[in-house]
Amino acid sequence: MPIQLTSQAYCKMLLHAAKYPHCAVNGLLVAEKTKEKKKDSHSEPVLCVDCVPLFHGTLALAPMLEVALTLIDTWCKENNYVIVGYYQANERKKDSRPNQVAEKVAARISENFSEAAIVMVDNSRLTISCFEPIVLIYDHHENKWKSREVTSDCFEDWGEAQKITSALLEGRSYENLIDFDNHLDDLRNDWTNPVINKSVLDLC
Amino acid sequence: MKAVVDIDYNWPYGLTSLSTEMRDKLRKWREDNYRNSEQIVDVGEELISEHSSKLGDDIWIIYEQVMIAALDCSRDDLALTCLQELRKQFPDSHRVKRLSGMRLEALERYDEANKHYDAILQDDPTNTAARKRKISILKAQGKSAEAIRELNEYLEHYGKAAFCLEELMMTNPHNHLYCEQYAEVKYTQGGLENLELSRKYFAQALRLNNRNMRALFGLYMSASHISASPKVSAKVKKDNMKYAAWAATQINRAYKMAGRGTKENKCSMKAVEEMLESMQITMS
Repeated sequence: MPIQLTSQAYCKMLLHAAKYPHCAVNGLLVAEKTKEKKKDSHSEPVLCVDCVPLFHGTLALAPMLEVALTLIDTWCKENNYVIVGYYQANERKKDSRPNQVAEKVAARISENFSEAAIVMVDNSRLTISCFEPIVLIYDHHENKWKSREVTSDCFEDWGEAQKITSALLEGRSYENLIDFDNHLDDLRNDWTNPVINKSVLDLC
Repeated sequence: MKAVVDIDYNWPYGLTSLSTEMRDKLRKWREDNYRNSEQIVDVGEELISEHSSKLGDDIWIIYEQVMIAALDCSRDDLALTCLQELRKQFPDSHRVKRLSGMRLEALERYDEANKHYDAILQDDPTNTAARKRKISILKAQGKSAEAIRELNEYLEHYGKAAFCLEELMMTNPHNHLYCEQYAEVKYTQGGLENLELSRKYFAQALRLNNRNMRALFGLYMSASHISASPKVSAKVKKDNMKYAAWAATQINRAYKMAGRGTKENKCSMKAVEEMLESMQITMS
């Protein structure tokens, strides 16, 4: 069961990483809940329609992570979403491997969604033009996290995703991206990022 | 007839006040240790190129601030300009030498950077800034084990992370952030004793700043977990349920206040209410 990313999910991940270039960042990936469970569900890709940026800097402290997971879970239920994945961009440019934090969160997500994926951002290839996808997707096989080859098939529409992400990075939209940390600093900051979502829609 | 000497402080229109505004911005970012490098470069570059004559002695610290921000933004041209001015003015300075080293780090010329820092340390073995840069280089190269070893040596006086925060709290008893971070570390370490400690420190952080949302959530989470633990007495369970209930009310109130007048926050608020309700159910 491969996951696929929409333009909105992809660009918000990259905007989050771009906003805090000196920090590690992480967040959750959500998909729409499907009603039918097909027997052949393994071939049906899961479309990540959105992501929720969580933290920047220290990713490994438990209490706020627990709060975020519970809160976002509730929000998902209201919007008929389900948390299907976790993304992380490490602090160092050349390090794109999932660490213990990533594995722990993904394990937690797997309790609710058996085929949760980890998406790591490859910082070393982050550019404004976004000419190639810079994520690594990890699936859980036989107790290990293995990376899968990333092609344009991993996107609902790579051309659109590339165009939108590049435009928003250039326009410095990441300055307005809100993550859960920003929300805890000021509750009025909305981690669903309606403003950025609208910009994405406008560029579609 | 009065002789009126009219000094127009706004002439040339806007220029004087603009440079003061920019100066103040840079100072605020310096004092609050912000790493908003793109903005610092934007403001600083203009200030240096257009208004340097108005800056007086501030110009040196501004050069330093802008230089570091320029490194963050891969603006080596700007970084070098600032560095050269600082070198001219302070030819034998360790502080400027450290900046040269940082530029080399940004260019990934780690061996040369290390030579700079070693030179500083030979001259002044107590120079902690140079020591910290050397550790940063190890970290950047992915040599975590070595970095940790060096860091532990450097922190010999303080011990481990929690102890370090304890020192910070002792010397900064009014700082609610250290208190709250310590609480988070304790919570993460886990176990009933740490959980109870974390609850106490979240509560203390709230006493110091009753609007610290992390402390409020932390109090709620820790008290809820304690009351749900099978190892606690009935009294402890009851007390913690009271703390959790109090925290929940405060959280709801905070969200209501934040949501006033905005449609978007209604969703957040509802999610919080539901979260608190669902946790009550699982905790009881």
